[in-house]
Amino acid sequence: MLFEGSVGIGKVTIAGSTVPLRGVSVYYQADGARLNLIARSESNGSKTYYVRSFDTPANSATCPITLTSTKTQFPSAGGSIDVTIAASDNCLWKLRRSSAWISTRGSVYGLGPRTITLQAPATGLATQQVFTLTVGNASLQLNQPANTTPNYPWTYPAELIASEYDPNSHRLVFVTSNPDQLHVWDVLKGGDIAVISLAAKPVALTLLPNQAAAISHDSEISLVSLSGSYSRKFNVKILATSMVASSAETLHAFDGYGRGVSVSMNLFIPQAVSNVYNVNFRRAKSKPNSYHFYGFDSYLTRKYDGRFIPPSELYSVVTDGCGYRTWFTQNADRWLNACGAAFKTGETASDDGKFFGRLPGLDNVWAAAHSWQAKVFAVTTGSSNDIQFFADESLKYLGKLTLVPSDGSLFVKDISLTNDASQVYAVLMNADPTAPKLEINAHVIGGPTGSCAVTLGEAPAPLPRPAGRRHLRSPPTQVASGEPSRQTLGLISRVHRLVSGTARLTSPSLLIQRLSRVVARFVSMAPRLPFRNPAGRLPLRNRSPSSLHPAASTPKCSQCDSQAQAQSIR
Amino acid sequence: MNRTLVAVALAVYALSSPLKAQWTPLNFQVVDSDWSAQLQRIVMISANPHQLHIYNPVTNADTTVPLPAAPLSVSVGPDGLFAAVGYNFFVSYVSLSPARMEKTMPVSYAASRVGLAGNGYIYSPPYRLNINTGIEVYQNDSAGNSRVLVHPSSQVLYTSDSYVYKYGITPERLTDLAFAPDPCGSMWLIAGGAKIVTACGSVLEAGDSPTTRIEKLGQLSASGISCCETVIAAAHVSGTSIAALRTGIKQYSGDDVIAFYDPSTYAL
Repeated sequence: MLFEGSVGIGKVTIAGSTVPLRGVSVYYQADGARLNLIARSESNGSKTYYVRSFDTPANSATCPITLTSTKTQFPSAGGSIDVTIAASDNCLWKLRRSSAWISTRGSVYGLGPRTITLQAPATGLATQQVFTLTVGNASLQLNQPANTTPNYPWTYPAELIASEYDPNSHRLVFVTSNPDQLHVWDVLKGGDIAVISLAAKPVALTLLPNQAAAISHDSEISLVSLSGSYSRKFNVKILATSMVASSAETLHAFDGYGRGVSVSMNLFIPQAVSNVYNVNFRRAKSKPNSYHFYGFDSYLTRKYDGRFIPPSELYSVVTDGCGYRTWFTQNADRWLNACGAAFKTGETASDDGKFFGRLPGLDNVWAAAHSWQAKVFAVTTGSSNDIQFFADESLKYLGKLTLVPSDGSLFVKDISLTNDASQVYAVLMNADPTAPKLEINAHVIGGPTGSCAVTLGEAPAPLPRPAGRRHLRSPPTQVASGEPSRQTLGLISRVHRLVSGTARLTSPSLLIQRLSRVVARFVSMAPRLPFRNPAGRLPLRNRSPSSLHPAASTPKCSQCDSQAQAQSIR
Repeated sequence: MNRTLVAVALAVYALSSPLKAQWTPLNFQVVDSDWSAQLQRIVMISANPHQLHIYNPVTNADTTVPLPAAPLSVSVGPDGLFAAVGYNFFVSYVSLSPARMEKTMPVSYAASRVGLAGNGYIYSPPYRLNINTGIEVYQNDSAGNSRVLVHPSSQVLYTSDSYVYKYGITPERLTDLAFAPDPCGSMWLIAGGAKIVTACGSVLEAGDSPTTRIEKLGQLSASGISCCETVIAAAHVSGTSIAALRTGIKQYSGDDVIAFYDPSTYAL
């Protein structure tokens, strides 16, 4: 069996026995029309070397290819289609799909003729999806008709509190109040897999390993199996506003006012809740696929080892004070914050928290999602229902999707991307506590289909940012309005170094002398420190529908240029 | 009658010629290899017999140049017409077209890695050898001898050990320009020298600008590959996927594979 995107280099038969070949070297011909390999076999201690030259579809004369299929339409309930690829024996080809919505069993690469089975999951969309398969110059179009009883947009009379998306299981987990519930939503089909009643109003939500979720309430934390098979409650002495699970065993919860508590999630340990301890941050966020987490507080970002109770602080770094909302990239190499700034993660204080760049034109990110496979950020701000897309390396603006909710009072609360960014899911809510409403919207953005709504070339006015990659590693010399000056950051950094003891001081008197000097300077600068509204956005009740939806009348893009799509969402 | 004979001869030739869709065994052991883009030939060296092979992978035609000793390393120059061959205490300079030995020079080191630049020098850090004069120069602040890669522009040299080093090439010396940690030793210049792929699967920014750092551009996707599998070799030219030979995936069949990566996202 091969993983997608590979071809086994094969075996040879020596003296009647089959011996695997080991790769030695690989060279492309300059025009890409051939791929030349050196390999070797080992049998009874003797090595034999081999050479083979493969044709590639870049040379249509030596590598002609045709694509055929008896069926071209996937059922809307999901299904598979066999596609036959006719190619010469020495032709090395790659099957390209316009959307990863359709998947293959095994490799999309092949050598010679082969039949590939393509699968499409059930769709909950009201629009037909069209997919194009390409091998070399040959292409074949497949489609999946619309769901005749579409599940999107899906509305529900409840107040959305929090949501988390698991792109691997295609589940959106969200908690609501009024009624107090946890929903496990299948985004592909567009429907609840499970709805679990909660005993109290939820405050925060985090997904746990082993298909479970932790929900905080006032002085209580619930652990709930997403299948509804079990639930546990822990009485805690805080109202947790953020939680991190550094392992399947331990959950840390924090109240936003410098207090934390840890809970053992081991099912065999009843009511194992730690004493309340003090922490130096307001909000915690797990680093994906790691037992580390970050604590964000004003201009200091602290990294913790979550295997300990209380968590062990590893080091802290100075960032830009916008960590009150953060989103990690899928591969955890960066985080994006509420001011649209991206910072690199690292393993030491010297390489962690380095400024990577800024999303142009954004200084207030309300929700964000990342696709590592497609290398895009999807971002929404509080000022409109646009979802903007940015390349995750260059941070260039790629395009936007304007959501048109079923109800003008709804605004985007959270967004999610499938792994390949072929679809985007938005959770919207209104600001009316007497008639709460949430809505889930789904849009295909990765394929050349009529439902795609990303329009290109409407880049918002960029904020000043340092030019060139070399500058991206150091803190910005020019910062956006409302952010600390470099002088302020430097001062904070000096205080931090003194307090954390990294400054090399020779005597206690010198320490006191320097500390007092720095503190005096800090106090003298205090009035100049910028003030930032931690929410970064108007209180919901004060926002008028027009302020929520300045672009509500913007029509959805009904025709998408497939080439432009390919450039924007790779 | 003559036409019939020609047709029969052609049919016999077609049937007797090696099938393209098969691996062609070589009658020598490959010690090291490089690629001549100019000649579209694989340049290999072998011991016993000590030879340099200029191999056409399409026709399997092999042109050989006898070597004076058991070779250790080979490097094709940026023009694709000459190669340097390293031995224990010798370095040869070989013309590939026409195929002939130009000269062999004694050196004071084992040239286990060589890099032939277009400026008249053969580099085996911390040594460099002037091809015209045969004079070697030792530069104690140049490092990295797991791999030596000369950028096609001959302006920059990349070496590696547990780091990847970037040196500017000047007639006087190698100038330290940048370095980046990468513990895997081996590496390959791809995309005309614009990028480096390391044995760890890291994709690094290369190029010949003296001011460009060795930034990590990405990682060849590890999807389906366990933690310790490494890249054996990699290649990429414009308009193709990055082709990387990877060691067998233990959880699957264990056979080595050619993995193909998107040149922008480095995803499979």
